[in-house]
Order: sequence, then structure tokens, then C-alpha cells
Amino acid sequence: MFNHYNYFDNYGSRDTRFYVALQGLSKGNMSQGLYDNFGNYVPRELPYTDENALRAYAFAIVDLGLYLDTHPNEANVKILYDQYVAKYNEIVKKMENSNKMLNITTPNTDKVWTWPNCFPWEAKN
Amino acid sequence: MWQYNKLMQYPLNITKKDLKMAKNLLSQYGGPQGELGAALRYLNQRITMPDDMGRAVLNDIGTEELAHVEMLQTMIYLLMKDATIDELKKEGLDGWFTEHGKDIFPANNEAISFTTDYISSVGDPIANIVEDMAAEQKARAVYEHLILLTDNQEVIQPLLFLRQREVVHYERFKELLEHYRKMGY
Repeated sequence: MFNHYNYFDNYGSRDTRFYVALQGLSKGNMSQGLYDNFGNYVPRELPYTDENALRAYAFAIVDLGLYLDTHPNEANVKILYDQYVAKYNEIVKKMENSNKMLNITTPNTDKVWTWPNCFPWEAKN
Repeated sequence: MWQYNKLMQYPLNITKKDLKMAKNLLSQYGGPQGELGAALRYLNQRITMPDDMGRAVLNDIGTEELAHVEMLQTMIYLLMKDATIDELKKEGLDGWFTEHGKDIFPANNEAISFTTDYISSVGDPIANIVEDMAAEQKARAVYEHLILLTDNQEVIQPLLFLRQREVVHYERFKELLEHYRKMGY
């Protein structure tokens, strides 16, 4: 199986290093230098599931995108961002093939209208 | 235009009811330092930012705050949904139940309704961004207080995530402030 923990590991531009996506989601941030531990509390490493992978890539895109908003010239980070966009879209494509709707634009081959199988606030994660 | 993605930003798996924490968490939904105020503050201020960097930072953080609004709504819902009337009364939530039942409603932990007085847009990018930085720090502090109030890891873990997001957002606002300072604002 694809190792999501090591994907893009040891990646770093000049003075910026980033966690891999699932680690980043677990900690709430991608930039290693910006992580600020609160007391003795330890963020749990989230387990790998399809849903957490989708979340992790979405999170990497959001957090690296925000980083690029204020560091637009860091080409290495843009490359990393693009890679996560590609990974995210791969998983979305997989969901489409199993008729799981992520949003209203997700193609769906059902003949009749169906409500989403589970809204996020009712979901068992 | 926004599109809703049927995906919680961070996984929530809250299995134990806890009315005290549900009530406390209301502060970070509809209170003065809450996520709803943050979303509205940034999504209003983004419109008149002087350049694309400012518009992008405010737009992107404002959008993420909407995902945090959903996380808070869900946590409150999951902590409260199985409570009995007696339990609600015991935790001082009978007033809440009178007006809202078990609905989610933007108010703080003392049931004071959300007000737009919590947010401001003063027509000056420096003043706005400095307010945004303060808002992120205040929200971080409130998340820390919330974490200290519970032993339940199912609640602590998402709060740690949300707290770190405040740290990151603060940093990006600080960089934006420096950018505008350099431009002579």
C-alpha cells in the first residue's frame, strides 16, 4: 500500500520544512517551524483511512495555499502544493467511481436523486 | 461562490455526552472570540484589502473559519444530543432548552446571543489586520482554557487542532502586516 506517512518526507526548501499531510492534519499545521505545542498535550497521530487521506490532502492544500499567499515566490512549496492537489483529485476521482458525492459537482450515475449517504455532523469517523 | 464539501475538516468522534463542555464550547461558536465572528470579520474585510495578497489571505482564512464553525456546531451537537431534560436542568441549560430545544444557536456559554458588535471593519488595512491578529491570539487563549476544562481526549484532540490553526493564522496575518508596512501603509 502507498505509504502516506513517508510521502514527500524529508522535503524542505531553503529554511522551511513541512510535515507530511497526515501528520500536518494531526497537528493542525504543515510548517514544522510554526508548530507550537500546548503544555504537555500531545496531538494524536490520526490513523490512515480513505477519509483521513482525503482530509489530509485537503488540509495540506489549505495550509500550503495559505503559506503561498504570503510567500508567493517559493517555487519549491508551489511544487509540493501541486503534488497535493494531484493526490487530492486522485481520491476524489475514486469517490466518483463509487458514487460517493463530495459536493454538488461530483458526477453521479444514480438514476434517481439521493440525499448524501451521511452528512459530516452525523458521520462516524 | 462557495461549494459545500461533505467532509469535516478534522475527524470528530465524540461518543460521550458532556453538557458542561457543550455549554463551554458555545463560546468558541457564537462568543466574542468565536469562529462565527472570525469568519464574518475576515469575509467582510477581504473586500477592500488593497492588493491581491491581502484579498487572498483574508478570503482563504475566512473560508477556513467556516469549516471551524461547522466543527464547533458538530461538537456541541454530539455532546448534547443524548441528554435528558433532568440533565439539561442540572447543568443550567433549562433556559437554553426553553428557547432553542437542542438546536444549535450562535450564542456564548452564558446564552448571550451572537452580535456583530464582536467584529469590526474600520476602513484601514493596518487597523483591520492588527485586529485580526488580536482575534487569533484571543481565540488561541480561549481554546487553551477549553482544553484545560476537560479530560476527554475526544474533545481535547479537535481543540488542539483548532488551537494550532489560530497560531498559523496569526503568523500569516503578521506576514501580511509586514508586507503592508513595507508598502508604506
